Amino acid sequence: MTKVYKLRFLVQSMSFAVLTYGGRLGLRLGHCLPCFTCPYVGSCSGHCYLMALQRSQWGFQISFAEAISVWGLRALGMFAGFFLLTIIFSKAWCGWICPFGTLQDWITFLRKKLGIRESQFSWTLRDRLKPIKYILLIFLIVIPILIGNAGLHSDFGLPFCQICPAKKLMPIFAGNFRYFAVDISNPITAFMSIVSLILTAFFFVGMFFKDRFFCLFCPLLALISLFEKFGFLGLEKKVDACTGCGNCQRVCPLNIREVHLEKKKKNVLTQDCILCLRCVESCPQAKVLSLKFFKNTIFSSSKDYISKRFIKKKRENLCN
Amino acid sequence: MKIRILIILILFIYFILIQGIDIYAFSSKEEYLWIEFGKCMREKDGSLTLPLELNYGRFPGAKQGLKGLDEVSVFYSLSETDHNGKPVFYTARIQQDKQNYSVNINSSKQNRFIVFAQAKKKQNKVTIRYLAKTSFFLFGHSFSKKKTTRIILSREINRQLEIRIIPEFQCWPQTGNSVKIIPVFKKGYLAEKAISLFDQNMPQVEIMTNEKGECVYVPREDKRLNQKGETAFKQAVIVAEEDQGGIKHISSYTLLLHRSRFKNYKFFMGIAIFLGTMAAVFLFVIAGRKRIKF
Repeated sequence: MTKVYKLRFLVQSMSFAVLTYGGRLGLRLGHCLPCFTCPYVGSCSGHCYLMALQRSQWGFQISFAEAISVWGLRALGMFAGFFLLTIIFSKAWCGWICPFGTLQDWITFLRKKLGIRESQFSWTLRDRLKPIKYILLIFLIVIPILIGNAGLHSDFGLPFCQICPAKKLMPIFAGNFRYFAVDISNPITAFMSIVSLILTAFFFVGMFFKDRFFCLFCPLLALISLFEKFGFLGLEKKVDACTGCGNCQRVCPLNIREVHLEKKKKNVLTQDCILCLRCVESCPQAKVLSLKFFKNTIFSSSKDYISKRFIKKKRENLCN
Repeated sequence: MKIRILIILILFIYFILIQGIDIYAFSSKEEYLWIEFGKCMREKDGSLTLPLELNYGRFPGAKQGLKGLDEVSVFYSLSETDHNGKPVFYTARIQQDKQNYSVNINSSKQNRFIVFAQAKKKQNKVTIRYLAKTSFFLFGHSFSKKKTTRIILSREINRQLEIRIIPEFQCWPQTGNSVKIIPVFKKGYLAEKAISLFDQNMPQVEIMTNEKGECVYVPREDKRLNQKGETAFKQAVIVAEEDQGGIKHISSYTLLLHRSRFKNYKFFMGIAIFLGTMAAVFLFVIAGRKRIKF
């Protein structure tokens, strides 16, 4: 039986290498990837769709007159590319492909190795944080519209990219520390770069103490969530067979409790889910949780899988 | 009230005399023809149109339209070459709106353009030949391909005195980045030649070419340009003259400049803010985990 966590680690590492360094080999995957493959990394092979969404070539930073011309069609074309990629892999982009997500997992791995426990958020706090990613999504759409139509200063352009921690952290892997600087060209650039540095520091510490901390605020995850209904991948639960052990909630890097608490609906793919499949891996009941591609089961929970994993871990602990 | 008037008078004298001298004292003796960039427009079919204004006089303020000039023509070349490997030139139609003369360069795809404008003037039995040049990228995205006007031979362009810029094409020409200026006269280089540089926001400067016939120009940081958006630009006109007895050649090159992208980056300031915030957040989290009350 394939060990999903090993396969995921392999796919994540390969995706990270391909998306971060593929450009050096001439690989061009376009500007509509539904993951944080940051365009500020000089050697990247594809660009995060959030940048296209904010730009004047393919996004919202166009006048209303341009929106009904070929320029509007180009923006639609770019969205179509994003939509297609989103429905094929759905949230797997976040859990399996996103290089920034992989970086977060590596930081978590480091914390575990150092023996530092994860910080826990109260459910009230978690519920309060949920809308932030949608607010960010609105903000990154409205500001380019205001630049294109209401004369807002163009230094507010690419508003999310300016404050995104990936812009600072991902170029490090290509040897570029330049974006840690404060741009003092004018008061707007200085303000935006200082805000960006403060947020990057905040998220960096947050990512150390909390699994997938940035994903709680990620506007791309919010955008993918809007189209998850059309996605080919689904996470299903046999509600009647669930014993309610709560393993799925405990192992979830985003502490999603809906999978555990759901008593009626079959579909348990929630808006924060990144399809890392750790819930499926840790479920002790046969075929209670399963990952489906259309109607076909790709991977489902089983006693055999969990016992083998548990025995192996126990052996490793005894050897140590 | 008297003090206010006095202050205004002092300021007035300061600007007229001091600032005025700074700008115009070293002005080139001759007037010249130059190309000035307009605001690029997006067409509905996805192509881009760049209006280029033709001006005669002194950049930036003293424009005279094309008054007194004869045989004015504009040519442009794309990144394509003919079967001999030479660039293909097209003619551009000059449009007149009162005293303003301009050409519209349209691009339906990504293209590199070199534009030449030429004119002639007779003055006191001396023929003055003017050549203005510029180069730029246009990133059009149209499905339709517009028909272009007739192809002409490159010898129709009087390029006896031409200003060459290295690098000729930059994706993002900006202040702070050096450019090499080479005035070429009849395919030969001009050593120790004075070149005038007229910047839109700066005083005029004169630079000399070295014994190899080239000089390096680094456009200075411009606070006025920095205040504008990242895509805002200013222009600088480089002018060279060569007197050949009965014929005088005056050539110009219009350089488009954006604000510097990285020259205003303060790395240590940024690192200090980042590490300071990180330490503060780290301590806050540790304190929270240990339930320390402030």
